[in-house]
Amino acid sequence: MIAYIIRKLLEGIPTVFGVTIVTFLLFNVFGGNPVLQFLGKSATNAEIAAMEAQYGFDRPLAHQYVDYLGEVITFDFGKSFVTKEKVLEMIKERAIPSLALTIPALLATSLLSVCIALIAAFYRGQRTDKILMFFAVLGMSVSFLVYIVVGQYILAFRFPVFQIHGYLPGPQQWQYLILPMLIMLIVGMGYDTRFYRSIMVEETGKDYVRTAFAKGVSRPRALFVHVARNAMVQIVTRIMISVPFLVTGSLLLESFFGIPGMGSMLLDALNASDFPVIKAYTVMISILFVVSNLLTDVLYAIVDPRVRLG
Amino acid sequence: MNLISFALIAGIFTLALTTITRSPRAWRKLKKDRSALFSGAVIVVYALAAITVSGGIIATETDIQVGEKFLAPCAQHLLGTDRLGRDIFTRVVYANKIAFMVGIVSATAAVIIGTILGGLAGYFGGWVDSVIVWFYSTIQSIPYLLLLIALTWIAGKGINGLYVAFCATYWVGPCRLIRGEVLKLRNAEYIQSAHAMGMGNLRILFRHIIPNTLHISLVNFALLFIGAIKSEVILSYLGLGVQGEPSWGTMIDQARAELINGFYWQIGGATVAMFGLVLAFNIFTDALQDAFDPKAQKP
Amino acid sequence: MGTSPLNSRLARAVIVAFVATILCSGCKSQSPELVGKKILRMPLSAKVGTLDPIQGSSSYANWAMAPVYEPLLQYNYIKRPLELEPNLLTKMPDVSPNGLVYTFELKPNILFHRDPCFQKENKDHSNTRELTTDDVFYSLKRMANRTLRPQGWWVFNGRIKGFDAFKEAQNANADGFNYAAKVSGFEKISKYQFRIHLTKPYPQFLFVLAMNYTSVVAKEAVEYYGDQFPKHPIGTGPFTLKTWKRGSKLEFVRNPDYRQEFFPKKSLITENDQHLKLSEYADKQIPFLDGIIMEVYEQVQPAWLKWRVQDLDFVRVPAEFHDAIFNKSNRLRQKFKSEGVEQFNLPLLDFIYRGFNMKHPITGGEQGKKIRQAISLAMDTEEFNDRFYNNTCILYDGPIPPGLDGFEPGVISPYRGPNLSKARELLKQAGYEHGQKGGKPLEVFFETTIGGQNQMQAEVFTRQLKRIGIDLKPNFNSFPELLDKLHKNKAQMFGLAWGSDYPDAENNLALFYGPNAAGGMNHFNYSNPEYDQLYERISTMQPSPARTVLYKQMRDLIIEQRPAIASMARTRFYVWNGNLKAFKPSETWYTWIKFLDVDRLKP
Repeated sequence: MIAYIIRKLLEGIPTVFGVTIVTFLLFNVFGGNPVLQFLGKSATNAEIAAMEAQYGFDRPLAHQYVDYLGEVITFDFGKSFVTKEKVLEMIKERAIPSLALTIPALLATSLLSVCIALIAAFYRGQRTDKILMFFAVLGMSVSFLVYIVVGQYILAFRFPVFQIHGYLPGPQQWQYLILPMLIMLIVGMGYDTRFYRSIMVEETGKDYVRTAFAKGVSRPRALFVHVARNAMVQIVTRIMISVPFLVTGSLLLESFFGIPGMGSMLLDALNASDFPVIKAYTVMISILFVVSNLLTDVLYAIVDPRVRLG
Repeated sequence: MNLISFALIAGIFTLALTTITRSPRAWRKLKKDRSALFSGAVIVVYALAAITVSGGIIATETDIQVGEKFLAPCAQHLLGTDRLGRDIFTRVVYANKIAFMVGIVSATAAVIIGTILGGLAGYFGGWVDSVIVWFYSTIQSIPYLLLLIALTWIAGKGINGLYVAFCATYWVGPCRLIRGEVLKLRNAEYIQSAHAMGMGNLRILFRHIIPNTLHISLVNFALLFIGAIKSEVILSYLGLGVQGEPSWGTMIDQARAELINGFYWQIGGATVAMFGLVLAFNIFTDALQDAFDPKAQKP
Repeated sequence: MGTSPLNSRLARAVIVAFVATILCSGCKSQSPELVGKKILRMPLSAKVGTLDPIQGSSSYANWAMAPVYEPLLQYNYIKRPLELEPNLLTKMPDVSPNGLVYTFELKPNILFHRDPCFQKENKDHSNTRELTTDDVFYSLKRMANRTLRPQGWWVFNGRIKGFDAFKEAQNANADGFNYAAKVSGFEKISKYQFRIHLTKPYPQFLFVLAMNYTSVVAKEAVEYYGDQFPKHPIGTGPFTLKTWKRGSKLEFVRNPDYRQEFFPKKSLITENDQHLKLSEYADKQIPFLDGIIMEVYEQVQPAWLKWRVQDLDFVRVPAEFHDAIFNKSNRLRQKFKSEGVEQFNLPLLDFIYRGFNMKHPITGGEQGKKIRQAISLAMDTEEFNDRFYNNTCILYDGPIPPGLDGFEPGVISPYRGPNLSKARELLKQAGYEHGQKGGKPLEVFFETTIGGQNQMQAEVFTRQLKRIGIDLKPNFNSFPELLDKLHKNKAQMFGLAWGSDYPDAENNLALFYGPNAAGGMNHFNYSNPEYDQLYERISTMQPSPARTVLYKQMRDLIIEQRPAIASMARTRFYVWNGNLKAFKPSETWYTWIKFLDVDRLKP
């Protein structure tokens, strides 16, 4: 088992390496010049050149790339060009509001979706199933931006059930997070419900369920106990795979609801060519991807003895 | 460009029809599914509208002032006017063409790239497989939005930037699926016998294996088409969307502050138009998937 | 069935929690310290990156530093046109007859905010210190330190004796920037008195000393916090920063050690300000507020909704909302008036323009003059004003905005559009009949920024130029991208706006001064010996009719040469709920925030 995990982790290294190459090319070769942002509207070309030298942007690209790899290996990305804060500190600070929004939203979405999927699978092919699935597709067909604009206007202003905008650090923030969470829930539920339903429908067709029926197990029991338990692996897998997206945050929600999270940090960094932040962000997310894929594999192995780790 | 989009729309429809009719069982099943037929018809109507716009027959003038600004919907202007006094209905119809262009070009390119790479990886295995798998895991591990934004910087803003950005990120999905399918198919008996007959590898792959994965490509095409149309809204919000022409994304984006004043028709018109197409595509794709492979999981 | 009771219990708990959450989310909560206090709540429409005065050039950064930092001078809160008055000084500085020596006297007992950074240096370990001459010099010297990325060096460039030499020497100093090194133009007389010696007369010098860049900071704080200083503002202002949640919120509380300062005198309050009800505050000691909360609102909709539910005390009316709020004469509609909403229409010292790169082979220089004139004639600025600014802009010609010497309302350039026949004629003379040369239409690449209504504006502009056959290709950039193109001479035509830093047109005229080109603030790369000579003359002249004559000559050169066309000045519309008091906004300076009051306690 441990050997398997180590092997998988080693296999992840080329991926992270690939990510560093792509991001380096995208930003150092094609991206904007951060120095201009520092110097502002009255900078002269001489001053720009001096500052480029100070930050080492005038060195050969290969040299700059090696330095970048060094940062990745030591996991020390230095300080942001813009805020002069330690990049890892910044990410920590920004990840909290993002996670406070996305984790409950993911859990709620998964829980509700699984419940609805169970109901739909139970009534497979009947009217209830069709209506539920139609609503799922309906929910998927509206633009995210429209949900936000309309949701904020109607649910926070016209009928002031929720807060319009704001963020408070600490436990008080929940009241500001409900509406964005609700929007995430509605957007995510369409996809998840359909996915989980098809898993359950697939499980229902399997031999063990037929055997259970043959043994006289009632239909609800077969579905809710046997099928749900076996579908759990795939449900947890799907949740695992979304872990990196929890951290990336939601740019639009953050912008409309004033949540100082990872999405807005990334956009600011992109707009200001704040390379240390961009680099740290992409490397961290790619590592998360590798790790969450690994965990998914391991989980499969633990739950399903038929999968052999080899 | 108009001719190209026309050709693409026509091409996709032919391909879709041949793929569907290749499998008589799927075709029979699809024919019986009334909601699938209805949504298929809706897609055809949207596509015809897009072709008509491409041909310069309707919605030719999207940029002229036809009346006062912010006119409410009336008989003359079905969806009222925007802040520049332009007819919103005309713009919504025109934007449908843009949606088709963005959807079709990005999805076609992504599916073609994905099919070829996935086929090569699955068929040859070994280092070819390793390199292609490495490449798509890399692309997949970069935050999607960051990649899109960076690519539109490089490819330039506007519709061409969208094509490049979507294509470069979207090929991963079909590539994975086709690779998996080819892995299964390459050991099939008929392939073994083709080998025995001394057929070349590429010929076997492209003449005998890939055609049997077309239904996967078709379903992926539809999913990516929807994805592109929906992502266009988000990129428009970031100022990276279609420029100089109306698109549903830019229309929704430009009207995002107008709702408070009660000017709901621009955001509403674009949303409903987009909703209709995406919904029809969603339902149709479902039916397709059911028809070909009832057991497949829906994404 | 073993799991189902658990499931249903869980489900019930989830439902109860969800309902409770929805029911409770209507209630509001604040930081406990602010309950029962007078708190101003205001929006910032962009994030603030730094609270170091020498770095902050955006108006949002200026807003955010206004409660904390103070420059030597300020403007009178009531008087219009704006007039300078002492802030940290006992009186306005004495100027020598030749205009080269300025003598200052600081108010005694101005204390810095209490902060641990002072404890080490102070013999009695107290946590504050008095502001002295040395602090002023130290703060100005920081503007020369390149590693701190100062944005405002241009205000002193070549102006103060020995300062440029000091800047070069210290930036090149291998042992690091030495603040103790002498600047011959900075002369300390005593703890409170000092002189500054200029190289040549600088009529705008006092305006500069009212800018946020020149705010006084404490050396101890800079050294104690190091590169985190921009996060820990320690100034002398009426408020101290309590918390700063980056990208979201700033909270300020009243500085208990703030010196005695007073609201302007009653005699200054005129008829025009009657509706602002300022007189009840006249001569009273400031500040009235206990605290200020600034929140970042990137989107228009939430800011507006928050203001409507009275969670924000004032907002600027976004252009999209103008017609819904105001009638044709820009007064509030009855619905809002009856709710107790107040308004202030603030004309800005604003120069919105579309500029040309004068080095461009086709549209630049002398060869492109007729094309530029033709584009100017094809443009219909009225349409822009109507469509995007609700007819609230003042259209003018040349670089001098309304409200400043050198502006004349009647002056309309011969190239003000729309005059299509004349535009076509000029284009023909330039070799582009019907906008074409050799069968190819004239393409003009227009660089502008992403966001706001720029995309729609570009659509209108494209349509207007199409009428004379020119093919405009708009290109949308992020702000750094646009700056990059300007610095590298990659832009052919561009759209920008310049807000005057001080109420003197010299600030705008400098944009066209030849030596400011080559990557400097002269993005037009405009270079005209006649203009440069005039600029050098006016740059040392005190305001006078003679100077105004020269201003007008310079303006007319720009109007004829057309490096910048289609000038517009916006009006900003501030609206507030009735409980905000003593509000008379300005966007030339921001420390007036200390004069505000709110008539509402936080629940």
